[in-house]
Amino acid sequence: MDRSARQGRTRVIAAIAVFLVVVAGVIAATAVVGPPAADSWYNAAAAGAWPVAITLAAIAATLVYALIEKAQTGAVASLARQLTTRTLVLIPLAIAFNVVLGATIGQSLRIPLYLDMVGTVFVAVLAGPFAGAVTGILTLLSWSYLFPPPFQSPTAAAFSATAMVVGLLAGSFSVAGVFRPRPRSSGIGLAVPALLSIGLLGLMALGSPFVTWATSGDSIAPASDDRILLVFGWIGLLLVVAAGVGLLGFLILRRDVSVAYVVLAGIATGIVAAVMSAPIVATVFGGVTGGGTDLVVAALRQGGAGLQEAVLGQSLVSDTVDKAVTFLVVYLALAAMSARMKARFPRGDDLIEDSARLDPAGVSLGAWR
Amino acid sequence: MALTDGTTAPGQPPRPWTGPAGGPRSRPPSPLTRLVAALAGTSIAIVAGGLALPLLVLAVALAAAAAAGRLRGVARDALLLALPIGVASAALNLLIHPEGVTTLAVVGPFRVTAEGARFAALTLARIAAVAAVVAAFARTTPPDLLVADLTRRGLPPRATFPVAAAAAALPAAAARVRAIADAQRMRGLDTEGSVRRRLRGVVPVIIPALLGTLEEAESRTLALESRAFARPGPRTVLRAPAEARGERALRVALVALVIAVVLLPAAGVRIP
Repeated sequence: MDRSARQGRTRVIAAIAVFLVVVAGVIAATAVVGPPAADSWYNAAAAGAWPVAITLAAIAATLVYALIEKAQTGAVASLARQLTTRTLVLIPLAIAFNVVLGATIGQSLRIPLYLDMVGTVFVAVLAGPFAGAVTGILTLLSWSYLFPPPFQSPTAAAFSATAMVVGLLAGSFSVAGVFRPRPRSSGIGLAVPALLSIGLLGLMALGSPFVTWATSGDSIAPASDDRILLVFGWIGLLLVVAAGVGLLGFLILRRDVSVAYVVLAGIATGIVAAVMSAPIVATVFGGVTGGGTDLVVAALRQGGAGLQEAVLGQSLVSDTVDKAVTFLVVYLALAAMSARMKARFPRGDDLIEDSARLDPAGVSLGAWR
Repeated sequence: MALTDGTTAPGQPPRPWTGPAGGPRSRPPSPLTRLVAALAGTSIAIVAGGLALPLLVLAVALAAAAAAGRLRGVARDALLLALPIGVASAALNLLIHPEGVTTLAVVGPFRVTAEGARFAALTLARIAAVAAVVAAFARTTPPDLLVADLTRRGLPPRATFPVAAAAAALPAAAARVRAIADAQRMRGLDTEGSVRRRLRGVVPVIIPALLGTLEEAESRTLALESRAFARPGPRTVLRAPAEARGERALRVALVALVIAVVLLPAAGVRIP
């Protein structure tokens, strides 16, 4: 490992450590950590602290990363490199794309998805986490304050921090190589990651409140004997099983194990987005966002769930499915792009499959680009 | 396109609020001050724990719109923005509030409680205040005026470009998505069938639109680079809005007010 790679690893480890410390510190400082109330599986009092903690931690981690790089190299090249002219041109187009998809496609196709971060994830994957965060924040702020009707949304700006974190996470997954195609995977190379990803999907599902409500009758379920909650619980369980079967089918047909990684990265991002958004929706907007998912919140509330629990339960399903679909759509769009086009962007190298990195003469693509 | 009531057609940027002809006494606040006021108003309306502050923010936003001669347009926009989510939120919290103790009425399977009514009123006031603030800002401050003001204050063009270009790109992006969706429908894309069919319709619309965005980015990059976009150094702003005396102090006061509204409840001070 050369010096530059070692320095990069140090920065990443330091940023992750700062992120975890700040999250733990803010949660502890708000003095709301503790067991949930006896009649609930969810600590509603602590909910509001999570968006603040995750936002501050993401900003602190980025600052620490930049400061260490400045100390190591005398400049902050890895962040500045993400904002090339090409990226700066792509960002406004991605913002417009986010808003148009969020306001138009979701409504015209009438599907229970938001689809308002496809452009953010696209920029984050092509240019890097910092560019993704900038795209996310600017999208939501512009959506509320700058864009004229009929594109304006009064509630969008409240979720700017969530969009920033989604951009950071998508870019980080891209840097980690999650979006690099791995076609023609076979044997153990396909089977082990596929089983692992489906196993992780199952573990995530078991932790979801819907499945908890559906399968348990002990004290952590608020109203497990309630018919409405039971129906939603089973719907959640069936959705997870369908996602697992669909993912397995996709893997067998495409034989590209990266699909599994991309879907899992989308689900993980969706969980973070849900944890950040749900308290805002519940506290500020009374549990309503103006979408079709509001009916789910109403049904869960009528079933006896607290407002925070009902919104988080709905968000955990909507956001995870939405971000998984968003990540998958971006991955498919990248697959339709030529390696030459991808390589023009700052993180293009992370998106080119291993077999395409060398030409028959063994010369790296970077040599002629 | 300006309409007879002083507003603009849907999707078009607003006319800038430049104030009536006259000296500095009639000068409207600069775009940066308006932005700080809008962000402060939104934050205060969201953070406030009682009805008084959101209603005050709502009144100030409407007063500012009236001062700018845009009351009718702002009120109409605010109503359209707040109505769907406001009504849904008020209905949900009024009719379904299991934590409520004091029952006011029973409507079918729903129990209306005093606690639910109070929370519904607070949420409605918050949503109305936020809608009025964003409508007032968007109606009086076109993005290019804000960008010119920020550039005049020394923000590099590379930082302000995405904001200005995003507003300009919006109608084109909407037209592209619509054209692709229409073309795919002509090829048999089903946007009216089951959820599964509609979900399958997402990919054939989004992927060509994303790739089209990349193509557009390529041509714009070449155009900008050929005109020294990446050149460092200050730029000359042709249309820079001026700032009245005392606006800086107003901005500082607004930021201090937001901090106070956030911190005072933590210190045990109750804000209405």
